[in-house]
Amino acid sequence: MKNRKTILCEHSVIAADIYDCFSLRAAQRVGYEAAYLSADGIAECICGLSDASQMSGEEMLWIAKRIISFAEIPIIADIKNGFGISAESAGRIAGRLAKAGVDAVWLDDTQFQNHGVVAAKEEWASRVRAVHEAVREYSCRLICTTDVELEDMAEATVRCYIALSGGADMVGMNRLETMAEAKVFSHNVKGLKIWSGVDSGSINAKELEASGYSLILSCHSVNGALEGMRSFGERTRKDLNTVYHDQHDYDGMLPSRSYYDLFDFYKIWIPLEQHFYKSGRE
Amino acid sequence: MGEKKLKEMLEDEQLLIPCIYDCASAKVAEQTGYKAIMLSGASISYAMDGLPDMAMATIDELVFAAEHITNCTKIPLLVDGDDGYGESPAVVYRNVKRLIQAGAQAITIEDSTGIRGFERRIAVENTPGAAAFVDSLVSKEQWLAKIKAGAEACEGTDCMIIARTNCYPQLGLEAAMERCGQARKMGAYLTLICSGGLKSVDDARIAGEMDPGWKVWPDIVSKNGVPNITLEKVKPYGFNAVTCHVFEKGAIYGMMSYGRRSMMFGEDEKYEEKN
Repeated sequence: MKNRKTILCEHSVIAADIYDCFSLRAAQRVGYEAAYLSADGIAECICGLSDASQMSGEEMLWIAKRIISFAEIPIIADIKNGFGISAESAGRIAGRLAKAGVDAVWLDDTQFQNHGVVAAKEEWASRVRAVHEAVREYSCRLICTTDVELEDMAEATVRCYIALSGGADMVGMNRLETMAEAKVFSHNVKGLKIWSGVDSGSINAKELEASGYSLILSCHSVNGALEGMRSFGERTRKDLNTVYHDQHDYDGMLPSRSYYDLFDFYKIWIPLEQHFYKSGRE
Repeated sequence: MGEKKLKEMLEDEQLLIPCIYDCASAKVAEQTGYKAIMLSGASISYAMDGLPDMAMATIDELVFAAEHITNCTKIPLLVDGDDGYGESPAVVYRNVKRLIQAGAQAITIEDSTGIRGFERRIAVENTPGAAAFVDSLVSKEQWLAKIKAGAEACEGTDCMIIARTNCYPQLGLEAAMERCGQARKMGAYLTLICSGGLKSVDDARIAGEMDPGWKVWPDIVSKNGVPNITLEKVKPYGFNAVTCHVFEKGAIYGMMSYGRRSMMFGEDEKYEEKN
């Protein structure tokens, strides 16, 4: 049984980016306590698009529902600006994801299909309220982040407090990159905070925890998958056989050399099937 | 537009065709030089649904994946159509139409039933060392009707039907080849003997003599570092398409490897504790 409180607890939690059931299972096996459904990851890997701004909420929902039903750790759904121009459309997709079982939704203040440009504060406030209203009946948490430029820390702070007053459980600033910036933001904004500057190699999780960041996102799955597939694909095409693939031992991470080990579904579905074939009801 | 179609490619050369399951794996296949890709039903079940390959995935999921993949790649897509996702040939006709609309250039239709995956696993679990692939089969008449339905759905398009029989373990090679021959008469362009069927170059030779048309070799594999066949050796017998699985493991290895490094960056103790 997954523990929803994990994503909003006092100690810091690192959440892996996921976009399908392979990435979910890989994250669980490696030891991540939570995961976030990356909208960009789903757009790129499942829908073949350059980023989430080209993807519809329906496509996100289609994939998300399948992954959520299979998760053993809390799942955060990255819904960007809500996949629509109105606050109501953001609320609708968030509510449907919450109903499907996500444990938190992560909303940002960018304009619909205008990536990187933030919406007016009034629009942001109504978007936050709409999403909060839509998810609260499912006990789904709301995480809000702002995309304002790094130089405008004051504006970021205002926007985070707008989010908190609209019902957000956790807030953050997407453009933070360094520990110094992390500390300034943390000083300015009280309450639970998310570190979404996931590509910042110089950042240490423990330092972030000490500075008040309780949720830290790790964006590694897409790059890992692409790199792994490239190397296996190139080798197989060169050799014209699967010896390299078949003998690869996952560097010891999966002793059986089979990714079936990530899925214990045979222990679930085979007994269930056999149960149905037994005569009478038990 | 203007890209070479699968049918022309198969006339010209032998293709090593990796199984893929999403746009990322399809794009990587294209970028690493493969000329065609096969959408694997098993891998869709694992990756999209987190479910075993036990006929649990739906035709809608297959169509969703096929459409998105063909929108972002230019190389031909073959689709593992399992049993046609229906018992009725009319349903198979509709499903093939949907996959063609989604961009498929070849679709397999097999003669096993919807409980095939369960039977395979139960056999393995209950009898260690038993043949893993013993599938219940639909009647030959029903399968041939599905092949005919699929072939008619392909008429006027660039898509073709691959008649896949899983009957070898139960009925033997001769019966399998007979089924293939009959499927060709119903309009199948390629044949495929799968699930515990062809294993060696000798099998390929016999199949080539009994069924002279184009054929698919089902998933080249290796044991103790030795591949069961080489592409070169099965080519003379009409195996111009050879499939393989490579990207699932590559992706999972890459994700676990990157994920472990990322996790250990600040949380070494937790990782050690967990593993």
